Amino acid sequence: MARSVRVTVDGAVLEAPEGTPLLQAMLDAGLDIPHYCYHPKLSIDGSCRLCQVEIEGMPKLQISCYTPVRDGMVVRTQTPEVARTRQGVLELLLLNHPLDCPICDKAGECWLQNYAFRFGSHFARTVEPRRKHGKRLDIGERMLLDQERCILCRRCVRFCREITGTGELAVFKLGDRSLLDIYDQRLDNDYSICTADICPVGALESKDFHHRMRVWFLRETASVCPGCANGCNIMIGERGNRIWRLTPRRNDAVNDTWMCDWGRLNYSFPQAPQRLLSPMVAEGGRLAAVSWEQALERCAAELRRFVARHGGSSVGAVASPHLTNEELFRFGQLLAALGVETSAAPVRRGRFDNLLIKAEKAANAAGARLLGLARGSDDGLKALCDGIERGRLKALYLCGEDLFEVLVPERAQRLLSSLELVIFQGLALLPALSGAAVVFPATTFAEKEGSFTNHAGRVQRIWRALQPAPGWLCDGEIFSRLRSALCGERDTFDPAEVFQEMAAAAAPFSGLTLEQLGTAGVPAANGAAAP
Amino acid sequence: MLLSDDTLEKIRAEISRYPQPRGALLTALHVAREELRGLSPELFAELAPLFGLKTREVAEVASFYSLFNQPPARAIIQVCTNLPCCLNGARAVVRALEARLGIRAGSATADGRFALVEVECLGSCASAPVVQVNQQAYLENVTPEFAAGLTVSPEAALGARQPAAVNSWFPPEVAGYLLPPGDARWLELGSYGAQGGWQALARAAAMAPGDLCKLVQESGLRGRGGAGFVTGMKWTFMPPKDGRPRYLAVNADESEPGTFKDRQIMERNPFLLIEGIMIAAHAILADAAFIYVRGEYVDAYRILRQAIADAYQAGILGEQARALGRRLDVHVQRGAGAYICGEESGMLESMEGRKGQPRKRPPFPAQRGLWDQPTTVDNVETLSHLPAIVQNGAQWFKTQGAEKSSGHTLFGVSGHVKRPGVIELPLGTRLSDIIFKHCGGLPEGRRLKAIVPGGVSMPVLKAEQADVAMDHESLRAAGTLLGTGGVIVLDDRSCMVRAALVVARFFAHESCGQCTQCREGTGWTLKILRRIENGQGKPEDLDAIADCCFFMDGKCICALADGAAWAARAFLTQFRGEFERHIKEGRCPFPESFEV
Repeated sequence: MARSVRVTVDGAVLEAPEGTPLLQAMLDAGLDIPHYCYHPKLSIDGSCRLCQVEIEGMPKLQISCYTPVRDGMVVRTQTPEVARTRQGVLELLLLNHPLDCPICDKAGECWLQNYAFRFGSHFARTVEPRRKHGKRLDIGERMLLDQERCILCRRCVRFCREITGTGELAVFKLGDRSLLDIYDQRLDNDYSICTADICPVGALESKDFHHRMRVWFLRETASVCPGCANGCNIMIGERGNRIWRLTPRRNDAVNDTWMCDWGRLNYSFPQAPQRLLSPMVAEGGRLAAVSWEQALERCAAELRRFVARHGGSSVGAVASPHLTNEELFRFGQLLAALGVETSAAPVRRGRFDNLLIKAEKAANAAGARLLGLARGSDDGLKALCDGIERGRLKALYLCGEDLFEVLVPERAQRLLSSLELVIFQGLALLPALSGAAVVFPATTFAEKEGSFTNHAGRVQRIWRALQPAPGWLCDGEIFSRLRSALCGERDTFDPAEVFQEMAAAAAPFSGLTLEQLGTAGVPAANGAAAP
Repeated sequence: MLLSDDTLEKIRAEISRYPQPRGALLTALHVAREELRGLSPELFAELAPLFGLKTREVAEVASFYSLFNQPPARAIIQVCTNLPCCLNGARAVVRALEARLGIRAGSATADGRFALVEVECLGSCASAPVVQVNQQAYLENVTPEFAAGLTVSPEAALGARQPAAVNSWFPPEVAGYLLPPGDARWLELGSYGAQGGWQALARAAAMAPGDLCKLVQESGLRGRGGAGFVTGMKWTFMPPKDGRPRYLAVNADESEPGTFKDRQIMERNPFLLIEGIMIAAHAILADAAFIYVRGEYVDAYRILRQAIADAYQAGILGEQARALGRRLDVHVQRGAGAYICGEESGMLESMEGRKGQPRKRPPFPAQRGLWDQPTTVDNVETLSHLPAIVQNGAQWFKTQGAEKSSGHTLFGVSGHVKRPGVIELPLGTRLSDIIFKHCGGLPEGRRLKAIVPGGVSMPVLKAEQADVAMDHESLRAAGTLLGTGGVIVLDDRSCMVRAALVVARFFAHESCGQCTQCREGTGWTLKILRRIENGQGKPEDLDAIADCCFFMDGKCICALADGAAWAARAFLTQFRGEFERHIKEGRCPFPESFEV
């Protein structure tokens, strides 16, 4: 850790580790210093010239992004020269800007708009015709380029060179003919939409979000991407109880400021048409929708009867790696109450890379493991399948759909059809589950609160962005109600309270509280080191 | 495969000269373009693997350089339309060519036989207007009639030759040490040696490098590339020798409009430069020198390559460089038409096979320069002073010029003078003496109106300031700078808005495009000036230009924007009345002025 130095900015003293870019130190201190080309996760370009400030002892203004803080540095950001310099950069950037904000996706969160209002001169002096360049250029599967809006900060160019290493984008030509473009390779890397995030203006746009929603209508909720075990921190953009987009949220311990395109675009499942909207029970050979109360009663009755007849050890369980830590903890308690001994938490695997994308395509496989619901290198899958195939397991409480991805369909079908009792809790009803006795709709990450544990054991919080229907019970509430019904004690599901119970019972979470996770998360304690 | 085995062999040989293959990229693009008469995505794809690059990286680099972005044709006729050429009728030449070819400048004929391009300063300002066909020798003092003759056939254009005229000299009262006397060219080792060449090198080699640095510092030699930094002091910025390779980068990318002096040394006295390079290499313990010659200087490039080959042959350079008793290599690289590559870090980028966009400092070249190694960048003329300094001593050199501006320099004089040329004179010579005594004054019946004293970046002076002494201190006191010593003379018929416009056009064309203010500010200044010249100016336009100058001056990565600002601001403040008249009268009030 570099030693801390003290810098005086506009009379106030701020501290920052030696060597920090002055701009970053000022931004960290909450100062509003306009800048375009600087990005904390990219190399320093120093070309937009907007972050210039006056530094005592320097004859000219200095770009604060390329000036490391030094002890005793005296900085002024409010002098007339600084103000006029900023105004100049903004006026010059706007000279050729198309000003098509009314049809620009970035409007409302555009840094050219924001800074022009805050630091610019509110009217245009130029009467010259504006540059004509390409608009809505189809530069990738998921990306559009508007060269007229581009302010040539080259953040995207550096992103493609330094982060993804793919280098699709470059600035061609020179002077005021300079042009951002692709050449022999389209912008199709796995993180291509990040270029839209870091584009300070609307030059790079996500096709998916193009002309779909004005950003000022969106309510943004902090969450964690449910797409894989990396647990990229995100914001959910919601309006009208629908998700319109996911965007990465900075977390240096997890995803810096990035997320993959697949994860970002994987937001429509909460509003998928095939999603289960009501609990169901088997009625005369087919499944019929019933109320939550009826389904819970029926489920409790079936489980009670089955355990009484065959013993808890004849019941198997599949925990979903998409459930929160709190839900998994309650599920574990429910299984313990029933005497269940065999549980698994299979997780679908897929493509991965060295940047963010992890093979495990679920947010909380690690949580299922830490809570003892998935043991062994195969997360308990073989033991579960063997148990069913040998007839030792006759009933299954199945959460989630990953089992059908992990096993070949015929085998999954065969396993399920050999069972006497199947309880299913998931997002959609697969044909293989038509013989289930009880079906509960599951709840997505966007509709609940709680925490996930990522691949590295970091426990991270999610918040509710979508409101479930009145009377809806989330997965954890279902487990709690069933446990109440089966054990007789009154059980509720408040994520913060459950977390407390979990922290007391499960070593990896000991000493933690949900509140304490904050927006950045906390590493789980090493199980072995816990008291 | 597009390229012949021969060409590929040439490219591979060139690649082997550099620490990284990219160093040969511009050369490769040059030779490929010569063979194929144009560049294409297919060619970029073919070249890329030779350099370990992606196709798009080659395309990106190529897109930056003017010479690689001309309309393809068998004969590309390039007409310089920068200030000295415009002052001498370049517009009429372009017009004649446009009429004969039936195309506008910037395009090619439909049959692909001809292309016509306006180019920025070709560095031949004493023989303006200047035309270059493809990469042939310059055609000088071109008239519209001569130009029309080029359009007979591409072969005629490519075959057009003129006797090589020498227009650099030193007057009898000056003992020139940079230029050969009279019309002489010392292109052979023998002739250079016979004139006392290599004696200084032998003397320098006998000195400890530190003592040599001290000698040069004491001589007060200041860089002749434009900034005037004390050369010996710059050398002291090199870190102690630590096992890393150390380089001398020689700036021969002379392209400040009005400047054509380094060319005189390279074309008339190339071994002087080589001797200077060797002395500097000894002083800073450089392992190799790389000379970056602007792409248009085909003669200088050819002559230098030959001179270097001869020097290797004679054992002066190479494995055991004779005087130094150690290895010293000198390589020559070609630019490709980008003024910004004359900025030292832009040049280093270009030498490494990248777009010539200047680097942020720190690190300075001495810390991390060419190929990230300790590097000193010196200008051709600067290095050419070294033999005389070593031979005659620091004290002698100090007596050769003005107090803080020691030695001779090469003043390039162009524009409205009777006898334009490059003249070797002591620093501190009066500007009026240069114009009237050495260059014969203005053409009959014309009076002096304005003088650009040191290349177009330097603030323009009014006629009444012509008595200023041409040294750093005196010019600074007069509100301008010595720059490269390229003096451009404007007569009383000249429209100052037009002059400002040509200069602004140059900067807008040459801005590398990195920094916001320079990229957009140079373009805006040009557009406003065009409007004023066309009679559509508004009074508030003058404030906009002044503001643009404020936005650009001292606020960008390199000094190009400073130059653009100084030039525009000076024309505006020195001749504000003319600007106001344009706006008030709604037209240019100087019908007899040169055209732009």
